[in-house]
Amino acid sequence: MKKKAWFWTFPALCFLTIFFIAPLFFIFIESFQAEKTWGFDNYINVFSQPVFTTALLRTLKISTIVTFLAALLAYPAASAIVKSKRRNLLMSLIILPLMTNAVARTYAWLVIMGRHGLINSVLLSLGDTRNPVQILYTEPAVIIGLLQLFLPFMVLSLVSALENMPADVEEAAYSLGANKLQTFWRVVFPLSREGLVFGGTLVFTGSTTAYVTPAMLGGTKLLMLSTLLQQKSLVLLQWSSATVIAVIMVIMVIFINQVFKGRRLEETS
Amino acid sequence: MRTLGFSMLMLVLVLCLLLGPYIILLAASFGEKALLQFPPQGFTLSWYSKLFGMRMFIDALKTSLLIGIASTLTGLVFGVPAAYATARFSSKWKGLVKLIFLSPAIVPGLVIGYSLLRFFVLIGGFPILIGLYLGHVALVFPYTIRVVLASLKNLDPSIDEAAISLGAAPWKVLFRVVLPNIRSGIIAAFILAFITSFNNVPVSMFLTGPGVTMLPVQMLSYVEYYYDPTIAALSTLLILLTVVIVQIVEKTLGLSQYF
Amino acid sequence: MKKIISVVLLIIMLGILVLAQGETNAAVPSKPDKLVVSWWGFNLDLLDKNIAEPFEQKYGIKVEWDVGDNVARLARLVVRKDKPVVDVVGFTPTFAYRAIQEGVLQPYRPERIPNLAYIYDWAQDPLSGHYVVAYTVQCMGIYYRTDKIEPPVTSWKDFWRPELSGYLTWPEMNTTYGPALLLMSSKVWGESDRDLDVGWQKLSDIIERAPTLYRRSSEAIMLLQQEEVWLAPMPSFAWGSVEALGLPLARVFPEEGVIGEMSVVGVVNGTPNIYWAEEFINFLLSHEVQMAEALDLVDSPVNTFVDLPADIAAKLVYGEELIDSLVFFDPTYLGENIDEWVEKWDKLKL
Repeated sequence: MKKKAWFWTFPALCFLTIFFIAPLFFIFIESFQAEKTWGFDNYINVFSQPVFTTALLRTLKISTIVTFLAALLAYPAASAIVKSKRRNLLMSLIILPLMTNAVARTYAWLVIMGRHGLINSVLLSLGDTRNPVQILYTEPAVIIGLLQLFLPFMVLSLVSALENMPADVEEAAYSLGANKLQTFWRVVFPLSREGLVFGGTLVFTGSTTAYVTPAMLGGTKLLMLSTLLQQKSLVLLQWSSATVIAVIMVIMVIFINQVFKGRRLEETS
Repeated sequence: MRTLGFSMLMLVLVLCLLLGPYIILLAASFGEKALLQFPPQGFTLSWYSKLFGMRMFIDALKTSLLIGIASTLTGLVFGVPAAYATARFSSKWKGLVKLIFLSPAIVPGLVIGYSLLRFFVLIGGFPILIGLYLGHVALVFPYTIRVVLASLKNLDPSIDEAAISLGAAPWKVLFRVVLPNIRSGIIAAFILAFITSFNNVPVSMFLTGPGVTMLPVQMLSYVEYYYDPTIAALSTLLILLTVVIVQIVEKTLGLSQYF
Repeated sequence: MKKIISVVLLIIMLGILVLAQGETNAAVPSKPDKLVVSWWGFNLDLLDKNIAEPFEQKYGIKVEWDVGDNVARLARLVVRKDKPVVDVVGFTPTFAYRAIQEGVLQPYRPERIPNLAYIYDWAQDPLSGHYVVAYTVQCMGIYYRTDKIEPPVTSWKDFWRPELSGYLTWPEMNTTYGPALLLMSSKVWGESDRDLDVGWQKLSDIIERAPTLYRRSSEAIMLLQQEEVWLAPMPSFAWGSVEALGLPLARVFPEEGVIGEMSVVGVVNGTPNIYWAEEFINFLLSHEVQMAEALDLVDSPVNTFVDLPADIAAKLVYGEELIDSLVFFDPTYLGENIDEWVEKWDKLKL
C-alpha cells in the first residue's frame, strides 16, 4: 500500500523539485556569494540595517494580527456557509473581491477611510468628532485592507475542512452537556485543524508579501518587509539582498506554520 | 440553533467587509468623467464597451485564461491523487512532503519569478508560453493539493476501505467513492488555484516575453498612467467571468458522478 | 571617333551606376521577419497604430512588442544577455544607465540615424557614448489648490511652508523623479544641485511633513481628489487627469525651473538586426511618428519640426517657453547614485 502512495505523489513531487525547488536553490546558493567571497556577508549586511529590523518587526506584528482576526471571522462564517443551502452562491460571493485589481481596490478604501471619506462623513454627521479622524496611513488601515484581501482564502480553506465533519458530532456534544465554546474548542477545532493551518499560512504569507495594499493604505512611511523586497529586487536589482529577505520571510512563515501544527501532540498525522 | 445565529451574523459581517469596497468600485465604473470617482457623475456603459476594443487587454485576457485553466487542471490531475495518498497513508516523511507541497505559497512571488526566469534561460529551448505554463503549475500545487487534503481528512477512511474490500480497484475508489464526497473541496481548490494563477503578477512579469502578455500585469501598467473608470469596469467583467467559470466547473464536477 | 568615345564613356558611366547600386544593396542586410521591441505596455493599441503598423507598411517588417515595466524588462534582458531575443529597447534614463552597466546595450551608429539632426540637442545623446537617444520629453510641475493656499505657489520652496505641513505629498525616491527632486531641492536651498547635504536635510523635512509619499502618479491624483493633500509635484503625463478632477487646482511652472525628463531608446547588445534596429530608432524620431504620438496625446515630441495646434500643445510638454525652462539633471550621475540614495531615503523614514 505504501508503494502506491509514493507512486501517486511522485509526479507532483517530481514536478515541484524540478520546476520550483531547483531554480530557487540556485539563487539561494548565490545569496551566500558577495563580490568574490563566500559567506554570510549579504545576510549580515541586510540584518545590520535598522531599516530591516523595523520592517521585520512591523511585518511580523501586522501579519499575526491579520491572521488571528481572519481565523476569528472565518470560522463562524465558514460554518454558516457549510450549513447553508446556498453554499455555492455564498462561495462565489466570497471570492468576488479577489478579482479586483489591487490599485482599484485601494481606491475604494481611500473613499471609505479618507479624511473626507465615508467613515468620517458618518462620524461627523453623528457629531462624534469635530475633526476628521485619521484612519489612513495607520497600521489599523493596513490590517483592515489585508484582512479584506486574504479572508477569502481562510474562509474557503475552512469550508472544505468543515464540510466533511460528521453532522451529528456537534449535536452529540451538546447533548452531552457541552456549551458552544467547549464544542468548538474540543470538537470542531481539532477536526478542521488542517484547514486552519493551511488557511492561516496563506493569510500570514499573503500579509507578509503583499505590497500594493500596505504601501497605499499604510502610506509609504510604514516600512514593511515587502517594501524592502520590492526595492531590492525591482528597483535596485540587488538579487542577493532580495533573496536574503525572501529567505527570512520563508523562515518566518514556516516557523508560524509549525507553531500552529505543533500543538497537535495527541493527534497522529 | 443558537450557534447558527452568531455564525450568520459573522457571515454577514464578512460579506460586508469583502464586498463593501467592491460596491464602490462598481458604482465608479459607470461614471461619465474620465476619472475614478465616487459617487460617480452621470451614467454610461462606455467604459465597458471601450474594453472590448482594447486589444492590449483582450490578448492578455486570452493568455491569462489559457494559462489559468491549463495550469489549474494540470495541478488538479497531479494534485488530487497526491492529496489522497498523503491523507491515507502515513510515513515519517509526511510532514516534509506536505511542506514541499505548500512551499510555492510561502516563497515570495518575486523571488520565484526571478529564479524561474534564470532557470529557463539556463536550460534554454523553452518557448515562452510553456515556461509560463510550467511556472503557474508550480504556483497552484499548494491549492490543488492542500485544500483537497483538508477536505479528505474528515472523510471516513472506512468508506474507501469498504469499497476496496468489495473488490474495487484504487482508481475506481478514487473516482466513484472519494471524489463525489469531496466535491466541495475540489471546487474550493479549483477556485483558489485558478484565482492565484490568473491574478499572479510577480511570476508572470518575469516569464512573459515578446508577444506574450498577461492581464494583471497589463492592468498594473495601465494604472501607472491612467486614472479612469476603465480599470473598475475591467474588474467587474473579470468578476462576472470568474463566476461563469466557477459555474462551469461545478456543473462538470456534478456530472462526473454519472460516469 | 567621337561617337565611339561617347559610347565607351556612356558604358563606363552605366557600369559605375550599376556597381554603385550593387554597393548600396550589399550594405542593406536582409530583412528579418520581425523586429522585437521591448517597450512599456500601457498603450499598446496606440503604439500599434502609430508605430508598428506604419513601420511594417514602410519596411515590410513586423514589429513585435515585448512589454512590461522598466524593471521586469531590464531583468529579462540581463538574464538573456548571451542570446537576446529583443532588438530595440526603451527605458527611462536611470534604467538605461543600468542597462549600459550590465552590458545589454550597444552604441548606435549616428550616421544611421539622420533624424538626430531634427531633435533637441539635449535629446541626442543624454547618456553619452551614443548608447541611447531620447524620443520623447516629459517634465514635472506643481499643482496646488488655489482656494486653500494663499499666497499662490510660485516656487519649489513653497513645499516647505509651515502652514502646509500635513497637506502635501512627494514622490518616493525610487520613482522616475525622486532623485531629480533631491538635486532640485539642493539647488533651490543650497549652493548648487550637487549641494546634497542641504538637499537631504530638506527632504527629511518633507518626509516628516507629508502624510504619505507616492509611488505612482495615480496615487498623487487620488490624494488630490480625496482632498487628503492640497499640493503635489505632478509629472506631465498626469496633468490631464488632474485637470479632469474639476477641483480648483492650478498648475505652476516654478521659478527655479521645471524638472525635465526623457524616455530613451537604444539598440540591444548582441542582436543580429542592428541595421533595422537603428532604422526603427530613426523612424521613432521621424516627423510622422512624433506628430502622430503628439496628436494622440501619448508622447511629447522631441522633433523640433513638429507643429502642434494650440489645444494639443497646451496638454503636452511643448512650446519655447516651457522647453527653455526645463532643467535636466545628468542621468549618468543619477544612475550612479540612486542605489545609495534609496537606502538613505528609507533610513530617513524611521
